[in-house]
Parts: sequence; C-alpha cells; structure tokens
Amino acid sequence: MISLSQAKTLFEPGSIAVVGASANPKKAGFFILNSILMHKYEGNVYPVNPNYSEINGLKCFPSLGHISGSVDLVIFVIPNTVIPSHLHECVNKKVRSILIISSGFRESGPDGARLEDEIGAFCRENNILLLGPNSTGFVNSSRNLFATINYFKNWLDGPIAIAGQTGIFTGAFMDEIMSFECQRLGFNKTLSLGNRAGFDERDFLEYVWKDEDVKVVMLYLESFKNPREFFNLARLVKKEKPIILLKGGRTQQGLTAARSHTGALAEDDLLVDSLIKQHGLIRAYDIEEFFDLAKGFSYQPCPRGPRVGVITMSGANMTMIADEISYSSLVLAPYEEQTINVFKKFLPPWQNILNPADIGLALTEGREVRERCLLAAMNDNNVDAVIFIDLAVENSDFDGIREMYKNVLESSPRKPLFLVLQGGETKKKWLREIEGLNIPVYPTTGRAVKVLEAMYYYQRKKDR
Amino acid sequence: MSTYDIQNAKRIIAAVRSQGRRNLNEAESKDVLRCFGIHVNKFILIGPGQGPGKALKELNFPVVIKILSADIIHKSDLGFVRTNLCNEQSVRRELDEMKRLAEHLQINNVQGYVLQEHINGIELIAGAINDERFGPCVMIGMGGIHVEVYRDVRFAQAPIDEYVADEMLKSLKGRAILEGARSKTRPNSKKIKQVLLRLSDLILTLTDVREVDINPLIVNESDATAVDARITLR
Repeated sequence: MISLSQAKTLFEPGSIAVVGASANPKKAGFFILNSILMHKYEGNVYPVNPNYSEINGLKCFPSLGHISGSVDLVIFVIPNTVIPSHLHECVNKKVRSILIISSGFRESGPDGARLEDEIGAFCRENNILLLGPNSTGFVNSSRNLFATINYFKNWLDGPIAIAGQTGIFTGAFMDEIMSFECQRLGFNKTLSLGNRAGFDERDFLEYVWKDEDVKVVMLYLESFKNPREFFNLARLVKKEKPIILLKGGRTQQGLTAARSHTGALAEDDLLVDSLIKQHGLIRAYDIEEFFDLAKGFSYQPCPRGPRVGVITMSGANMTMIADEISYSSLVLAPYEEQTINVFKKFLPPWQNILNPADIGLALTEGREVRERCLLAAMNDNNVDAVIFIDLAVENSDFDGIREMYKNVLESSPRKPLFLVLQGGETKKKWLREIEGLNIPVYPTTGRAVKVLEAMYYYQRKKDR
Repeated sequence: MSTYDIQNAKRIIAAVRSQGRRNLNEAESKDVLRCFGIHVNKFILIGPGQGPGKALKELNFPVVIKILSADIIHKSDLGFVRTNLCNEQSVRRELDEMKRLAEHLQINNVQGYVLQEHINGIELIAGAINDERFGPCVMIGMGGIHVEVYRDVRFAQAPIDEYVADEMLKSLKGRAILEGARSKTRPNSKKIKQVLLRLSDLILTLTDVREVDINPLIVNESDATAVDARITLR
C-alpha cells in the first residue's frame, strides 16, 4: 500500500504533464487534455509531444525534461512500449505520480504482463505512485481535476466516491446517472483502477477514508488485490463511511469473463460473501441495486432502528410492501394513537387504520392530507423510518409539492424518508419539483425496502 | 489460550512431517483437535491384523467403524465407513468386509481401523483454512445434504469473537434447525460457538496447518462433537 501523502500527489497535484497530448480531436491524448482544461483545473498543465509546439493554446514540450517548472503528476497516453523510455525523466523531474491510460499490458498477454511488471517495479523502487495501466483516469471534483478520457458535461457534485476495475464509472454509466432528468446522483470522486500495477482499491479506501467531502464509498471489483488487507482496512473505514461493493465474478462463467477483462484470480464467492457480511460492507448484486443503494445512503440518514411506518395511496402496494417488510429485518411498527387520529381525519369513519396506513381514499385531496399525514408519521416515536407510497396521476396533481416535502424533511431531519412513486408524466413533473431535496424515490416498494434494510443493517454494524 | 496443549499439537504435526506426510489421519487430526479443547468422540484404534473384541469392551453400542488411512479422502464414498452397528457380530462382519474391500481396491497405506461410539444429533460441518490470499478463516455449515446441495456455509476471518461466532450461526439458512425446529431437543449452540472460537485459535497458532475439516461435527443438547476430522499441512 502507498502512503496518504503520496496519494495526495495523484488526487491533488500542483502540476500535470500529459505525455502524448494531441491536437487530433479523435485521440485519447486530446480527450484527456481537453477534459482537464474544460473543467478549469487550477494547477499548471504541460502538454508533451515532440510533434507540436502548441496544443489548445498551451505551449507543448518535446519531452518532460524540457519543462522548466516542477511536475507532480504525469499522464501517459502513448503506445505501451514507449513508456519505459520516459520513466527516467520522471525520476529526474521528481514526479510523484503516474497515470497510464495506455493499454496493451497484463490484459493483452504475457508480453504485456512483463512490460507492466517492469514499469510497476520501476515506480516502486523510485517511490512513484502508479495508477493503471489500462485506466481511463479519474476525477477529483474537490480540485476540479477531471483527468479522464471521457467528458462530463453534466457533472453533479455530491458525497460519493466510486472506484472500479472498469471505465464505465469514469465514463458512460456515470454520464448516464448524471444525465437523468431528475434523481441524479452527485459524486466527489470517480476512478478507474485499470490493471492495478500500483494503486489499488486499498489505496483508494485509505484516501477517501479521511476525505471530508466523501460520505459514501462505492467499489466495483472483479477480484481483490490483497483480500486480507482489504477487509482489515474496510472494517475500519466502514465505521465512518458506508462501503457499497459490487463484486463481479460470482460464478465460474463470470470469473472466466473477469479473467479476460482484468485478470481476476479465482475467489470462492461464499468466502467473499461471508467476509463482506462479517465486516459490515454493503453488497450490491447488480448495477441497479448498486445505484439504488448509493441513492439511499447519499440522500438520507440511516434509520436508528428497524421500525418502519408506511403510508400508502395504493392497496396493492400496501400488501406487497407488508410482505416485503416481513421478509426483511425491518418491522412494521404500530403507529401512535395521535398519528392514527391524524390519518382518520381524512378518511371515512368505518375505515380501519393500521400500519401500512392506507389513505388511498384521500388520493385526490392534494397537499393537506399528504403533508399532515407525513408530518404525523415522521414525528411518530414508534417509527424509525417512513416510506410513503404515492400515485402520481393527473387528477391527483397538486401545487406546493416541493414546499410540502421541504417542511416534512425539516420537521424530522434525522429520520429517513423514502418515496415510492408510480406514474407517468405527472410523476416526471413531481420529480422535477423535488429535485435536489435528496428524497430517494424508487419505482417499486421492493427496491425501497431493500435499500432501507441495508441502511438499517449498516447502522447496526458500523461500530463493530 | 493457556489451557491448550500447544506443545503436544506441535509434536503430533512434527511426527507426521517426519514421515514425509502432509495429511494427518483421523486419529492424529482428532488428537490435535483435542489439544485445542475440541471435543471428539471416544475412539479406539485397532491394527490392520487385530480383531475388535478388546476395543468393544470399552465402547457402548451402537458403534461406527472406519478405515484409518491418510490416503483416503472420501472414506464413506468408497465404503470405508460402517455405521449403526449394534452388536459384536455385525462389527466383525463389517470389519472383515472392509478389509477385503481394501485389498480389492489395493489401498496400500492402511494404518488400521477406528472403532468409535455412534453419536446422535444434528450434523454440521466446521473447519478452518489458512488461505494464501484471505489469511486464516474459520467456517461453519449445515452438514450432510445441506453442504453439498445448498452450500449452506459461512466463513469468517480469524480471529473471531463470540459476536462473530453467533452471527455466523444465525446467518445459516438452516438456523431454524439449530434453534430446535422439528425436534424435542435444542442443539447446544454455545458449544458450537466454542468449537468455532477454538478453531480460530488453532488456525492462528498452528501456522503450518493449511486446512482443518471437521465433518461431521455432531451437535446435540449436551455437546458439539467432532466425529470425523482431517487436518492438512502446508
């Protein structure tokens, strides 16, 4: 593992050189330089390429040695076999970190593996942090540093740090999450681990552990670089921040695919699953769950106990969520009498009110019924979390949705509120209105229950 | 840890090593477990040419008879475990049959036969592994068909404490069985947890051990007993 101060030279460099920077808008050497400049990184940026004297308005240097100022981070976007010839210059320039975007290493076969080992050993001997090779880069939005070959035009700042043995979270998938019309997730860091010849998931955990801008950690792994050390560290990190782990290669076929993707070693998934549970990490089993969990954890506080209060506009959803909660470690608590009295005000006298509380007969009554019932449930001492199931149909549309939810959240800021919302155009409108309030909205009760259960589980396990 | 007989466990392992072996036979494995306070069922060794008469005087029926050979991994699959033998006559018959079978299958390294008391209870499996990448871990699972078909097992990194041992048991799909469902007696889960804690100490102390496999660990109201065991060295 590397030291924290060294990791800082990667995430918070004072100056960056891009070896292989290009003016050709179809090349990775153009993308990454352009991305760094586009997001207004504040340090010095030096393009290095003997074929240009200037790129993007910046002076271009024929080699690292020609740069007069100091260089903290060097990004290589040149063919794999050429990289070693630049490494001695890195030592001369006292470079602290290297990011290798180039591919053609361990993932390509034995020759590439040898080259990777050679570069890895050189960096270790000279105390240079190496990220990659075969990494698509990283983002540290705390420093406006977007060192990736993917553009983020819709970047949304938030409390999540994510790293993976993949480029999709520094690229396409992240862009998708940030391009949603609403319920976008905000990130602070994203990083592609690549082949992990140097920097690996342990270093990432260690760095984000003490990072005040990060509240939630997400990892996508196909294997562990050093599982023993990973879990020993994760156990400590999770006391302060939840770690959501999506682990590929659960089956023999998955492992075979992972081996050709990242050279993952065989790992008994029963063993992995046991250790994830022992140490209180949160496991996601697919990418949908991965981001469902991220939404819950980054939007709302964890419930202090298992007691859920459900209010519903829909009978079928009421039955389903009652089953789902029964199967989970959560429980349906009986509401306090004063809460039930509030519900009753809006309903015919013959209707029996339990938990889940079915207030469907008041569906079209608009804001008052929702707000008063939600406030009552959120302030009910028998309840540790509230799930509200609402139906967003045109004839139940009403004004003041944003203000209503704002009031509800403010009335009980330490109690989580989840929303299950079903509908078409009206749902989209409602979602736009509550954008930014950090209420996690799920399309089905099952997904909401799963996330809330994971948050309750984390609350119990975090201090162990 | 002070109550463990670590010296003796190390002596047993050294003796196996000196014979160029890496697999401890059942008797050696159980002796090591005993050094770590893990309860094993009463067993008596008889040599390859010996009869069972003397041994049977010290055991209560029903008894089990097994071959003793570090070379055979799946004894019962090959027919080298005979259970529920209720009298001397059937013991002699099964022993003779097993000897003929060993000859027929040309099993060279037969160190003898083990006679032991049959124990009633729920079958679990327990173990420990010192994995190159994951380090020392302990394991518990529902035995018999559950482990093979459902793989209902749970691991934990050693060292473990009582809380983790408890969590391991409660996370098994077969936990209802351990809590006494469909049975008049309640299996002694405290003793199961004790086995796990002791396995954790064992795998951390005996660094030459690569794997400990207790299959079955039989648990009833009074105890958790290692009925068969195999230890493999690095």
